[in-house]
Amino acid sequence: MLVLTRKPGESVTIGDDIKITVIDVKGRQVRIGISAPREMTIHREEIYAKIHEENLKAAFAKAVDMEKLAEIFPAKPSGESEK
Amino acid sequence: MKIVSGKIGEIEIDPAKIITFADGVIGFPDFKRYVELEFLENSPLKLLQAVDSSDLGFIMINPLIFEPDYVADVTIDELKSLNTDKPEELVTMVFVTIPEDPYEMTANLQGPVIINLNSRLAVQIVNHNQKYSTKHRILKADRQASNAQ
Repeated sequence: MLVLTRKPGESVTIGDDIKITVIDVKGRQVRIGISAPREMTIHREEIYAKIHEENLKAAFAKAVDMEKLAEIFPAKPSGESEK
Repeated sequence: MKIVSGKIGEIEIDPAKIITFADGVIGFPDFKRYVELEFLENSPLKLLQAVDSSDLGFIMINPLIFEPDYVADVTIDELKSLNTDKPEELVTMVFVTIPEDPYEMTANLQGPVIINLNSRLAVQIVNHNQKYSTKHRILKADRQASNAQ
């Protein structure tokens, strides 16, 4: 991994069209500005990783007990009872 | 055409009903074609079955059923990838994870699936709204009350 030291207001460029700017540093938090082509998707890594992990769990729930599942609905979803 | 679903066996599907995820589902980039199937009678739970793998399927639900104020933040680019600029053509579904005790099923509100009903294009997006979790409990914890219904 390439490691660079930057001060607030300074940037790094990646290729021709990606620019990452350190906007502000406060204690342990860094605010980063990213300029990139619109078609590039940018995510906080941990959110993407969480969705990925949950998809894996949801996808392979093969041993689901269909009969039990059929009993549950139309059990009342939680949202309704709170209203 | 006939396909095989690990959950419900061999079934006949209408090719016109195939939903295409151009980028696949997050974590499953190689599988792009799915169909929505009813696998339980009168259930809000639907099966999103991969056309090209009998073993790959997701149970999904319309989040508005249990979270009436749910909002998925769809960006302009995501709308473009769905080939529409009309949000009313879209439906939002979320994947359901069913653990050993199905009463503890959770919905992934952070990674909703947006489906264009006209073009049959779909995308799983990252909902950046931090108030939504990947493990939102669908049924209320008090199962006595649920059973009494």
